[in-house]
Amino acid sequence: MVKVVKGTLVECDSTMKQFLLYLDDTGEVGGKFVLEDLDDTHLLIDSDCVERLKEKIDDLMDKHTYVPDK
Amino acid sequence: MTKNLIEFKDLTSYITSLPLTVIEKIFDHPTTCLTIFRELPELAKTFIMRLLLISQEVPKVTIDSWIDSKYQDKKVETFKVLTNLGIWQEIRTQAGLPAYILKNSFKENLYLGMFDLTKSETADQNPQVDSKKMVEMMEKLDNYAIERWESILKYIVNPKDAKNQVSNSTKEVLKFAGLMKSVDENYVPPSNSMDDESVSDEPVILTAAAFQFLLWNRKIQIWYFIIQLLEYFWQKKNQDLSECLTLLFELSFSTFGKDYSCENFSEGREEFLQELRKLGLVFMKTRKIKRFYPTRLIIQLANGINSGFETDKDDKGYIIAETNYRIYAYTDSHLKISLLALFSDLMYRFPNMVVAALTRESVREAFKMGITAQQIVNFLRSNAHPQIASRKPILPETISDQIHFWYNERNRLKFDEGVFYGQFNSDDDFLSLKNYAKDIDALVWFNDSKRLMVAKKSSHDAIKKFYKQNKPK
Amino acid sequence: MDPELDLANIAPKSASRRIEEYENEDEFGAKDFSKELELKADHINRPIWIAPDGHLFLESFSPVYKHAHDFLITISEPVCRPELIHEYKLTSYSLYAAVSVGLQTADIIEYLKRLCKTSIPERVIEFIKDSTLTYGKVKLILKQNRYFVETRHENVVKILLNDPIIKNIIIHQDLSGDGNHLNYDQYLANDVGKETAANDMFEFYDKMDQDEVNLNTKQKIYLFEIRKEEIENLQKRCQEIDYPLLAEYDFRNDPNIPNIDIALRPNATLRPYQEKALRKMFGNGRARSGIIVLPCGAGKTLVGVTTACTVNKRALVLCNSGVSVEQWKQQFKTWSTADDNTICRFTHEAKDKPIGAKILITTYSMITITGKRSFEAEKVMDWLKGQEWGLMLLDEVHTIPAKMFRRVLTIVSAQCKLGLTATLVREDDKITDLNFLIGPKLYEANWLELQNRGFLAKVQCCEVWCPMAPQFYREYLINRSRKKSLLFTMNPNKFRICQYLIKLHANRNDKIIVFSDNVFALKHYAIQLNCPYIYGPTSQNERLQILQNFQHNPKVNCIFVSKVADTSFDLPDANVLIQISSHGGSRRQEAQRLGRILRAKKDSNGEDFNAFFYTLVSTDTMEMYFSAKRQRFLINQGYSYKVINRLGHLENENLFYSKKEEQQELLQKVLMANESEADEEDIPSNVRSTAGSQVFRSQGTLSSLSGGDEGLYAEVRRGQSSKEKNRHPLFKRFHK
Repeated sequence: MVKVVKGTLVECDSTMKQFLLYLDDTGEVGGKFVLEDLDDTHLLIDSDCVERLKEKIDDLMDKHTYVPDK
Repeated sequence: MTKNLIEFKDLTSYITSLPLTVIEKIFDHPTTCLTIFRELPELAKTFIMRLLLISQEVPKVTIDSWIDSKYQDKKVETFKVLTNLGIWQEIRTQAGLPAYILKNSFKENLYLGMFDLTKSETADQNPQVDSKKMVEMMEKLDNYAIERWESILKYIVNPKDAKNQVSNSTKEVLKFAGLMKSVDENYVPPSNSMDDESVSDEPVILTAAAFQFLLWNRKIQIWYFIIQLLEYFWQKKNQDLSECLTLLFELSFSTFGKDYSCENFSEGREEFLQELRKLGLVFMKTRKIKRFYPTRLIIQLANGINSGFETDKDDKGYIIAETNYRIYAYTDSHLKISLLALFSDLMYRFPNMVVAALTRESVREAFKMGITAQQIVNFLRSNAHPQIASRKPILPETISDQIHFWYNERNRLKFDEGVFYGQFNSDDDFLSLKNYAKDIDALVWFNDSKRLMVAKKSSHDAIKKFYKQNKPK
Repeated sequence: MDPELDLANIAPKSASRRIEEYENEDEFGAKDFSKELELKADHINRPIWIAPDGHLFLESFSPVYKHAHDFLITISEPVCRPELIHEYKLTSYSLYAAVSVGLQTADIIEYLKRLCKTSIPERVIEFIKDSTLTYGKVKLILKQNRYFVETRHENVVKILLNDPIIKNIIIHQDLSGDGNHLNYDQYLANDVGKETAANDMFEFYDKMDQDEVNLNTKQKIYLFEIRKEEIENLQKRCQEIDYPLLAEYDFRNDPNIPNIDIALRPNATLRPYQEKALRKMFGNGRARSGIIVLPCGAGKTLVGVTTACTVNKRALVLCNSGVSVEQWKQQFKTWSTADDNTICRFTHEAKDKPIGAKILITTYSMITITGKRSFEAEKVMDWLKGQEWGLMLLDEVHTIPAKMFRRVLTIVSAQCKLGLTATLVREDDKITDLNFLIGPKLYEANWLELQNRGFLAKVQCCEVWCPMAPQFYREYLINRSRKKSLLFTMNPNKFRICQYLIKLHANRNDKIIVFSDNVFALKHYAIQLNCPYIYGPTSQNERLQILQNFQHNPKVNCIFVSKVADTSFDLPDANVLIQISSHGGSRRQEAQRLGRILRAKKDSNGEDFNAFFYTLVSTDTMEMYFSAKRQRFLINQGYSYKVINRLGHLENENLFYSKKEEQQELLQKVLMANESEADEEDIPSNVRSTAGSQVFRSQGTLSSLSGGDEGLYAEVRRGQSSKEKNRHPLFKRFHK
């Protein structure tokens, strides 16, 4: 039987993919959400986690941005 | 609809896009025919004139003979225009040869319009017009027009501000035109009835297209709006478009500074006139007095977007963007300041200048609204202060680059619902499914060596079906 | 409680005065002054706006820009000065500086009114009045071996003469009448000297209005003699009552300190901005104490040398590293007639005899060490402390910790103090105190202007984004912060890009310096790329060799250096700088590094940029954050960093780490490295600018000059032959 998995396909650069795997490991998005590791730039993830994931990514970007105070 | 810039550069080209049935009705008025005639290309005008004066049909070959074969293209084009506008129609001569004849209504009314410029419905003007008063009136009209239009724009930028009052019908048109959209899909208006003069409370917000709209200069904005208004009247309100168009055509012939009667306007015309009034395109002292003044802009616009127009002093460049992400805007216009605030952090406001800063946060707020990096960059460029207009590049590279980087950040990841298929028993099994998915344009990812693939979620049923039908025995 | 520190701890109360915060925010969150300020009819012709919070904006394209700019630099601090619109802010310190060059409160307000497009906010006027009311009103003058207090304000006379402490310090002349009533007129000076403000201020005045300027010459001058031994008390008291003494040294009339007879050589030509700075200092014939701010590479040293020649009295020069000391000595010899006998260095290594020197060059740490000194050194210190120095030059004064600086002031007694620096900015924000302790800002140059005039090289600043190799990023995410920094520095993509850039520029025959604060990375990169490198343990001789080679050998285009280079070498011909690892978010360091290549290039071949500054950052890491922070200062000077996020097709270039296995190997190496490898190089004798850091070490560990023989570095301690270890493979060939 062919294995069928429904989810959300994520396409991104290989660096960002590592970040997603890291979040998957540490459970920061509420448990494991990576359903299939497809290749260097693609993952299949749990559709329910997409929003939380986006938040985490925004956090990451924010962390690396320097904002000068007025 | 708003992505492409203005498709129609004048009313005539707009009309060309309308169904013939509508166009026909427009030909019932001399001024309309005259206006349309004026806007046609030279060759078309020549054809019409000749046909006008020859009262019977003219065989195609005759018409063909008028043109040197070198100008074949132009001829074909002209034929097309005239046919699309329904100005002439093709018939057969008694001998069975193709020939052309002008539409009757067009012919008659053009004739009237050209050779007998008598009354149009708005022709009764006050004979005695004091020139000094007229000049005063002109200035008043100019200011009125600017102020009214600005209030529409301010509403678009800040719909929640109580100071920005816009009538319900205008709000409807704005929504129809794709400039505003509901914040809450499920909004239910309160039960008390709303008439045209009261204000709807539905929360709305500007769209990305609106931002593009706001970048245009005033003339183009209003032109776009007029087209949208016509469409709205026609599609949503099922009004007789010819009424509206005729009114516009007549306005194109009117004199700036003079007033005209709308005493005998039909309901359709009256309504259209009121909408024009709300936009500041015509001025009425009160609704009761049945007279109106066209403003400068509507007269010129009715003549087409390229008709001579001194550049609005309002539209001069006023922004200086510096390499340290600072924006200095030489303006005190609340509207312009609101626009800036859409994508930058305002810091100081002086009587004639505003200091703002471009930050990642501030542009991200704009991106969330649907504004793109290119739009912001274009905005800064096209409104550049004369002082930097000769700088190369006008906008420092680092700034435009950075805005794009911040925008692209949001695209680093692409999310798409999909279905994964794996663990095929053989290459053939795999390939057949994969190729099917490809054929129906559903394949989004695959790996041949591992026999894995992902397809669009929407195609899952079709793929399932295909699989079942072709399941290996 | 150290009595010595007492004086040095006081800055005038008003130093911390700030203009009130503006509460009025509009619907956009902006401070809205549009209602309260009135636009003048001819606003187009006026170049500035003044906000009620003391910020000023200047149109650089205005026809009166030049004068307005000069004026604003004199009375305020620049915040940012890009191409078209500058921003400045008024602070109590900046206004202090203004009055000290002779501008009166009324003048300042008057000229601001003329220059401003709108009416001037009330609170700004109040602030100016409050800040300038008491400053600059009292001067301390040394004349003919006697000390005088000078003022031109009668009310100040009254205050001083009635102050319980001060009146006992003043040597009263014949009291007239009863003891209660003092006749102030007796203190009127006989010779009303011509006190003029700096020349360019005059030109400015002339242009601005045709009326007769009320020159200070028309004011009365009151002079009181005071007891020499009470000077410190006087200074202290004046600070306390908020009338800080402006120190002006009348060096032409000081028989107390002998002349040292040095002069500027004819080949020493001063550039216009250097002259301007000096005019501000010597404007009225006396030497003013204060701070001169010039960009790195703009010739601060020459300004210092010229000052020493002008004052022509015993001078003490304080630097922040041993190598700086050498540099200053060289510069003195180059530009002035001072020779090896006149100039003495007081450092651990130098064999000069400091005692009795006419020009003494030493380091801050050398004279502020609290521990035990050698016998010789102790003697020198005693002598130094007992001297009346005519001039004290404080090089890079903003790089030294506040505490250390205060010590300097208590140890050294100097008539005139001149601070030289590239930035008035300090990460620890102790600007206020220190500046008041040295003196007002005398002059500040405009970086962009200097660049446009060709005095500084035109630099293309680039931030090159290096994507993190996936495995490295993975480790980055899971490791602690120290390891994190090692990981983003050793990112193989960064290495490849560095290699690529070096190749690119070497092909153009450019001279390239690569900076790395982190030693692990430094050695790895340099050795892999076969380039010479200099860091702490590198011996003095070897450094000199490497630098010589770099300068003169066409085959050596690229060297790697660690933090030592920040405070040391002078390499005028390097025109490419690559940063692969740098210290946190230090703005000053960024500016200094840029200074390495800012020296104007002789022939630019008409190309747009003749110098390049690359900073390589690994994306998605904290390095991005730090990089942005560091750039702030330079961005405010008008520089912009071009972001390069794609570098051609690196796969086609023959670069290291193109294969995953190679990258993996590197990763293993990095992961196995000791955590301490992630730290920056530890350079004890160099003084860091982080507040409160204890930088005093025992004498024997000056690593900047000596070889690694002091056992500071871990590798050396492990017993390997230091000499062998420190010698670069390249040199092994030279030295058989």
